[in-house]
Amino acid sequence: MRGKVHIIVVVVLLYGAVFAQTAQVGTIEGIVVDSVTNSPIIGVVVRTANPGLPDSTATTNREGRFVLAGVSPGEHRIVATKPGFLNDSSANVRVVLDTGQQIQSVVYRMTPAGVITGRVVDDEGRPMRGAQVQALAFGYREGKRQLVPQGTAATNDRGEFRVFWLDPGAYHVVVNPSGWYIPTNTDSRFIMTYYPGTSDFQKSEIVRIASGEHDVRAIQMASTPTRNIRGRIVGAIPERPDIPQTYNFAITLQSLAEVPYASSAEFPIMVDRTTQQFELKAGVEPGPYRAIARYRTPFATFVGSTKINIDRDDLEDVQIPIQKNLSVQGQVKFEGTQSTGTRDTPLSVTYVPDQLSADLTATASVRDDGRFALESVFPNRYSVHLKGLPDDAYLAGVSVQSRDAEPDSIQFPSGVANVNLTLTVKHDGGKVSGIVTNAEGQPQTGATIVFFPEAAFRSRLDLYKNAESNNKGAFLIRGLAPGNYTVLAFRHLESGAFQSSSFLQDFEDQGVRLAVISGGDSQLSLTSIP
Amino acid sequence: MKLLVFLMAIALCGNATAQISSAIEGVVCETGTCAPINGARVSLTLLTIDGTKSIGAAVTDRTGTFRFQQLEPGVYSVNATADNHRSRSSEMIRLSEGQVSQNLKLELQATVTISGRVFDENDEPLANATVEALALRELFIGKKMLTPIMPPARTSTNDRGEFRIPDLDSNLFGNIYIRILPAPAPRADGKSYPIFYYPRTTDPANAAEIVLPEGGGEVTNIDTSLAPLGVRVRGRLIRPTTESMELRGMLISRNGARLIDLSMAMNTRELGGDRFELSAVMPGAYDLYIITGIDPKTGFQWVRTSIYVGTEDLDDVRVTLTPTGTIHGRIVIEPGVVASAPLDVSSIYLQAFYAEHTPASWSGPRASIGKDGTFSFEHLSEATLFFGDPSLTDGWYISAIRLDGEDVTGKGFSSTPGKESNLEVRLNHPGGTVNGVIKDGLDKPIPGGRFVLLPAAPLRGNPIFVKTGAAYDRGAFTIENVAPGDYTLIGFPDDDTFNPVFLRTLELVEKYESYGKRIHVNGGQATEVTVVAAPPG
Repeated sequence: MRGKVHIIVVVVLLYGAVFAQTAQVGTIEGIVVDSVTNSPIIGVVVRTANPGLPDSTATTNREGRFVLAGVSPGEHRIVATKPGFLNDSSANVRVVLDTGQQIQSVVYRMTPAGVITGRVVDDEGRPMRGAQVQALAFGYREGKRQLVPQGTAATNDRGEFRVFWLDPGAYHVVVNPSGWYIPTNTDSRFIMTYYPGTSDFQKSEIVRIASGEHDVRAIQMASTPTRNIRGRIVGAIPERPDIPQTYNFAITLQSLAEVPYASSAEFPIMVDRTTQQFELKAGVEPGPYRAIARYRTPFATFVGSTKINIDRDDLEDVQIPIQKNLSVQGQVKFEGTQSTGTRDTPLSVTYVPDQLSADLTATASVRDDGRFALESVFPNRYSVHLKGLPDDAYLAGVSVQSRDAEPDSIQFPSGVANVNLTLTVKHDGGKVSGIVTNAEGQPQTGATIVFFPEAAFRSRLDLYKNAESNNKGAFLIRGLAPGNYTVLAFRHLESGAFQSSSFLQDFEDQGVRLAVISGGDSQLSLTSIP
Repeated sequence: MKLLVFLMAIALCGNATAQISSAIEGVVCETGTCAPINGARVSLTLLTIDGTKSIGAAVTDRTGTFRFQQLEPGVYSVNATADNHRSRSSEMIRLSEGQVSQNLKLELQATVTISGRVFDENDEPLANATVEALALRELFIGKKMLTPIMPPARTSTNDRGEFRIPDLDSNLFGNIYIRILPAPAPRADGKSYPIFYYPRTTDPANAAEIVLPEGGGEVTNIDTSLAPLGVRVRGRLIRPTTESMELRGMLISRNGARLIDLSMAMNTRELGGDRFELSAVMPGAYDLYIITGIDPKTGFQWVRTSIYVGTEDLDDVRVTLTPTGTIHGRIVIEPGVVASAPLDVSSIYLQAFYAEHTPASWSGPRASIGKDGTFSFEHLSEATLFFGDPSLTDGWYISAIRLDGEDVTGKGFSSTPGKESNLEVRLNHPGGTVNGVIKDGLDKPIPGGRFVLLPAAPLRGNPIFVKTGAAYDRGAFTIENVAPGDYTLIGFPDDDTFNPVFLRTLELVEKYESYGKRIHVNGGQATEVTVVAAPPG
């Protein structure tokens, strides 16, 4: 008799537990509207974003309505996305869902992204097709504040363009001409032009856009008289008995002007076999340039550069010394305990030359045994970046031909057949965790925590680390190279600014000094800078 | 006026060297009407023994005129280009001292622009979709395929879903088809779009043709609607080592008319296991090719597997990496053959073609035949091959093809992965001749009429045995070197419907078999036959 009672009790308890489980989830319903026209938006993907809880997703129908089902109780941030609308976190809706609750009246307002429209015309007002139009805004790239393209479009056969899906802001619109148009004065060439129609950045006008279309109308391409540049390639060019008279070189003129947006132009040239002389007709803005000569054979590449200054007259006797590419054999050495993290991105090495054209930057993948080979490397100064490291590892040292070197300033030697490059990676980096609170002592969600290396190492971009605080204000960062840092927490930080020493040093005295030791583990309390 | 002439006369009589220089004048205008073209770019090139030298350029205004002056005597070429027109070079102009070449007319043909919009399943504009212009290309064994035109005409849609494809030349392509490749960025809800063809189909066989008007202009409102259809296909390449490989895949429909190149949609990872994933695959039977390498002689190498895609995602397709195969071939002359002249087998042109669409397209290996008649195909990936017509002469014909002893004459042959096979190409002599005449229902011969000589059913799979062509003036034709046997000869009117692609498409021709005439061809003899053309349609 007693046994039966027990069983019944157990069954009732189980049933109760199951009932409680299904009653826990609730639904969130609502509508997504255009903040400008107030009309409903179809095809918006709506989801709950809450770290620690599973996401629910829904898509709006023709009436703009959505139903998020199976939502766990708790605090949720509703995020809606659709191409063509701004990803504005201030539009997110916060919802607190009680157990089994059904919330029905969420209204989400989305703002259409901005579009810059216009036409590109030549000096007679005729449409120019194939011109590349870019909307540039100031931002941080490689730790420097510069004009960064935010959107790009090519002009169609009517010369029209639309640079779309832009965030509100201030833009410089710049147009690069396509190669097949020439001005009426055929002794000149079209050159990179800023809105409203000038090649001089100082005279360019800012285009301020909010939401919706902004028509800049016609941008008339500027032109500049051509100049002849004559010179000689210095250095041995390998014999090619199969080609008759000349070598096919390419010369890139890279502007060294102090403008926020640098331009470069490439010219194919013929270099005479016996005299090694060349002549090129260039239509570029006057100013200082680096002239980079490049010659490719199936087995090697030859590159060299020199500084030139272009003004009104032709340039004579420009000497460009060239050197053959090097063969660099690399090895990534892992020291210390093996990493526990998994690699989502494969390990790769990117090498960026200091004084050659940007398109000589290249990336090599690292094989499973840590070996890698760099091609197209020339006797020049390079900075080397290792990408795809697990988050607890850091680049501890670099050596070239067994001599120590700085990763951001590696001078590859000339005249050496095989160059050895070793990158040492360690896993004994420091670990730092902590809490970020705001001025009122409340946990600061979504703050950016920046680790700013000490003065002597500020050129090492790989040493700058950043992390984001979660909804409890907590953060964790690993793989900090041992050294002295200033730790700063920002409520909002522009993308890329975490690597800008000129920006960060203004806040240095508001930060916390931290000495990171190998294998160290520190806790910090930070106050966010608004 | 008289004074001017007098002065000019004095000038001409004076020392002429380097004082009166030569000039070239002309106008750039539309074909036919010669309406002037504004904004045309004209370039002048001097032709010398050593090569060409660029002399100068000009841009026309709305009068369309240009003038190059102060030129040295010599031979020049003038080239004009203008937006929305085909470019054109003039003939060579030989300029002598003091000569002014006038009235040069560079007529440019206006091209066509196609414009339209792309919409998604909600009738909203789809941005960043790639829009491509395709044309029907005829392949040798009666297959047609939609392929991108050359030079490629491709653009992407803006935020309003709009696109414009200019520069389409109605002289090169009568009809254009439009294909939409959706944006590479995945949708936020994880769904993908398959490839669509204008106006709203995923089946290339149903793609609508756009006729390019002659004389240029614009074809507007070419609007296509897309929907997120199809399923996901996931799988992996199984292979013995984990050495990294660059994998590329292609999914090719097995009914042959379609071509789907999903190499861009394929994500392969090299983290041991070599997984791949294709999205938005429409239902159907496919050969999945994983390209494993490129051989310098034979081109692409692959492994393949057949898959059938239904309405459910396929999540574990496995393709095993197998080594390529080798075929040792030999040309064998049937015993007992008596020929008037000995046949030099090493001079035979034997080119293999793929029967299916493979990553190597249609062209297979070519046999390099030794004096003893042997040849070999190495590093062959699995696929069915046929030989193209070797155009044998003097009554020689291919009588049979055997692979490892099995008769594959009508089936084609394939290498076996990792194995060596023996292929025998048997030649016989003499073949027969068919002298035919095509007549219409009123007993009148049809000049230019078409014919198909169909062999007995087992041999019809092999293109060598199906002879097609057109009759001459008197509706008469001759087919030589026909392998002895039973045939059906079908005649067709001189009608564009019965073009070479039609004639080589078995399933279309066989529908007319009842109109054909049964004949028997004997070796060394001519068979005379008259056939009445099958009615069109």
